[in-house]
Amino acid sequence: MITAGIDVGAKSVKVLIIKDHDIMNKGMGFMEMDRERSIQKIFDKCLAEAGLSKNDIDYIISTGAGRKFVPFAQSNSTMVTCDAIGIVKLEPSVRTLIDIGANDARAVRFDETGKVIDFAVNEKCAAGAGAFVEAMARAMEVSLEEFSELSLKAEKTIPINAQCAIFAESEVVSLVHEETARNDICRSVHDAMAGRIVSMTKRLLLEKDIAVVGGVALNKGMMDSLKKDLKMDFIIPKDAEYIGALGAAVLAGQEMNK
Amino acid sequence: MTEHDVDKEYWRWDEYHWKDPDRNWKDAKIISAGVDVGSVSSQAAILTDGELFATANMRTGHNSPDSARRVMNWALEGAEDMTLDDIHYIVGTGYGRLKVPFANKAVTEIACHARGANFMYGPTVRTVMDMGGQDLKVIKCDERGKVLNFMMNEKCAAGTGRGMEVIADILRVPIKEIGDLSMQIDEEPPPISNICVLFAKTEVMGMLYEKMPVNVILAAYATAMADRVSAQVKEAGVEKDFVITGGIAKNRGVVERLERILGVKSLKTHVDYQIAGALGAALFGKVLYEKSLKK
Amino acid sequence: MPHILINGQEVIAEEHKTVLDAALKAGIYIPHLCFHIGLSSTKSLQPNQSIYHGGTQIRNDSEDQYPGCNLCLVEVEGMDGYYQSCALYVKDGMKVFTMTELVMEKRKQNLTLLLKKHPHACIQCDQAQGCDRKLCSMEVPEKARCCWKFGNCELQKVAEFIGLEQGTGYTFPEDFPIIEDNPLFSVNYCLCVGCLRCVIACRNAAERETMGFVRKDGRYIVGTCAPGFKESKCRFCLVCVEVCPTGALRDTDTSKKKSKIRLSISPSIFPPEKDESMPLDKANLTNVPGIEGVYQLYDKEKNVLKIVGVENLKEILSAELGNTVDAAYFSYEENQMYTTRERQLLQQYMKKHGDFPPGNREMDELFS
Repeated sequence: MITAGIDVGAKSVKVLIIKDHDIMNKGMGFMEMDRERSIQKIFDKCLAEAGLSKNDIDYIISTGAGRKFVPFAQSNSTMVTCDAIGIVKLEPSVRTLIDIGANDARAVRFDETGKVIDFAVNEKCAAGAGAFVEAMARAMEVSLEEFSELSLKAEKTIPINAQCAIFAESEVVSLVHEETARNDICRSVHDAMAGRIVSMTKRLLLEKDIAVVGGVALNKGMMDSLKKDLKMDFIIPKDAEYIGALGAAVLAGQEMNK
Repeated sequence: MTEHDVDKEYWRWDEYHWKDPDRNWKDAKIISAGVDVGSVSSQAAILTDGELFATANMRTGHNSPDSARRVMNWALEGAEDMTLDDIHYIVGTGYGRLKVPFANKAVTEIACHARGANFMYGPTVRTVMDMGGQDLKVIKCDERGKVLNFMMNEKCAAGTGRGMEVIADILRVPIKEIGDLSMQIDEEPPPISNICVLFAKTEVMGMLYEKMPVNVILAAYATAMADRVSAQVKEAGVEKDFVITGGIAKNRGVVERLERILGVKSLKTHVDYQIAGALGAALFGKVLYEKSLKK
Repeated sequence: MPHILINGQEVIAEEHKTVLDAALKAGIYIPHLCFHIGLSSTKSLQPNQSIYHGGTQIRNDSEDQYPGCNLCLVEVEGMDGYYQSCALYVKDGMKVFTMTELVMEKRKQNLTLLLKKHPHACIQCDQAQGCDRKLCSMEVPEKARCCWKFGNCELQKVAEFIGLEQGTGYTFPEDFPIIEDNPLFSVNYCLCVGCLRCVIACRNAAERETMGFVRKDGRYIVGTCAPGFKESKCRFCLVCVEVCPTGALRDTDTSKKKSKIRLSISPSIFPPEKDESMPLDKANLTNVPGIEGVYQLYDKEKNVLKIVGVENLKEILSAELGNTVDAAYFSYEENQMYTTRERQLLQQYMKKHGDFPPGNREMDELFS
């Protein structure tokens, strides 16, 4: 049995293919203006790499903010569900997951089978999502990778007063003009965002183990700030960006067996 | 940046200076001025014997003292051969009010806006809604322009001038044309669904890709903005007469939709809606100068 | 008269009074909701057979007496466990502790129970300050959002004092009605936490039994003894509004003069505000940094005189010394966005007092 999960995020599309219980292939690409075409392209590429054709896939489930834009998927499911199933498959001891994507963030608590107990979401305000850091990196004219590295070298934190991403942009530009150390600005941006994430998770009981996933989990500087603010240890699984897609593919297998 | 590049910045609104051609400042007994250094724009107003003589409106730079100096100089430039020394009293206001190096005194923008609106629209004004670059203020005042209460929101760019600039840039429409363009529609489209300006930007890009006409997108954004700010002004309560000041007051797309939602018309005036703060500061300057003479 | 020690401080209490009463009168705060100074205890009140929410009758399903809010817990030296200080009578030589780890933890748990059906985004949401409560960027569900009493709410202050347990989540009130059957006040039963203050106030001060309560499915639900307030023999003195620690009871027209009965009730005792003020003198001023920030001046009674944002705290505050006549204390906070912060503090002050602080009214004289 071969199943596929497609996670259509705001910025990128993640595809993961499972044969029986093992991951056969995975791939991701950026979302372009023509949504359906980008999804198709990324999916086709992932199939080709695995030496498969569309007909070899028994069941496809899509998830993510753009899950309704996958006409070839048999079914779709929410990110909350897929995240929980995906992480339990990969790291069975995890009970709480924090997923920070480009345009949203969520915290999900679930049992050992991946059944969701409670969750919190922010998908309305960029200040608590990856887009916030991206906008600040753009304002400072550095790449995200550089931004992350700079912040790790910071010596101190300057309070960022603006909570809004648009206002924070102006504030960061002002700080650059005042010749504030760039390292410190980057750290401050990460700290500000970590604060938002922690405040979102506050309404949830954070049961151990905790995992942080999503594109932002790969930002070391950001994770450093989050660790300090959350005051709890967490793991960052490998393939942290693919947890939703993995969950969707596992779910597809479960659907088949029904 | 060359002059040519500046032309491409669609968010950039007109900076200007103005002088009343019929007034001769040399006849004036008291010359007072107000400088409003806001987070996005700065204005200066010069009064001769309590009447508006000259104004200037510019974008705020990264340095407040410098922005204050520039906008004041520009107002003076238009005012024949008046110099800073000819002004008897200068009041600084706005977010950078303590950073106006040549001011005799600083007064909060809440007080100045109410006073300025009272002068601009007359003593019947009770509710002033200032829609500025980075915040939204609702000020309640009495017939003298004295503040009775105020409420403001400065957490989020949705509903502010900054948000509108971002959208102007994406759509490549000069900001001053946005209001009129957004009214050129047959039917009101549903409002933009994202509150967050950063996300609305992505939504607008998607709409452009779908080949939605620019005026329809603008209408959708103006409606979303009117929805957002109407909730805040309703919370404070709209008592008549109601006026709107600040940069967004010049955008009839937002103003008319807001009036429709609130069911109240706002008073209009020929004076630049953006100078209410500077004007109020200059009016305080006149009284403060008179008081200093009596001592 | 019994002498007791509360947190090491000697308190001379009146005979036959509770520890809570003695502490509050001595200016030592112990969190409490069901108790109101000047009213008798609500603890052990017997539920009614049934009560009404407008036309809806709600029947009692248990004979249990009201157990109290369980927030006023204290520990006593030489006695095991913890006690409700509203039911613990003073005894000479008693040593009481109000802020031990044990009671603080227990209070947190009990508060969480009380808030099970009370919306409390006002305590949890980062954006609560300055939020318009209509459109929400934090995706707080509409029913869980802050109410009209935000910022002046006793329950909110008590909850901030005690703190919430991690994972309390957003909570949704039950589908209880809002009663607006008279021109003087309204009741939003969704916001009621069942502290019974209104019930006891109605009996003690108004000498009526308009308000009552039942226990149903383990919850205490307050309502009127007949379908409407008028039929419930309400005398519309509004003591109930006065003592309500939540946004449930609300004056319709705040400009109306308060009734004699209502004025006879002592005001609720709120948790102490964090007091960061210090005497305005040379010694304290030496420690103030010469940077941007906002300072506040207070008179001898610690009433705010003015709130000012400045570029240089040290310089301007030093100038205030001896210059501002009534200033006895000051506090300051460092903040680069000092004009914005000043406005926020002014806005909070105005919400509470209805006008600017006296020292911020300097422009008033310009309006003659």
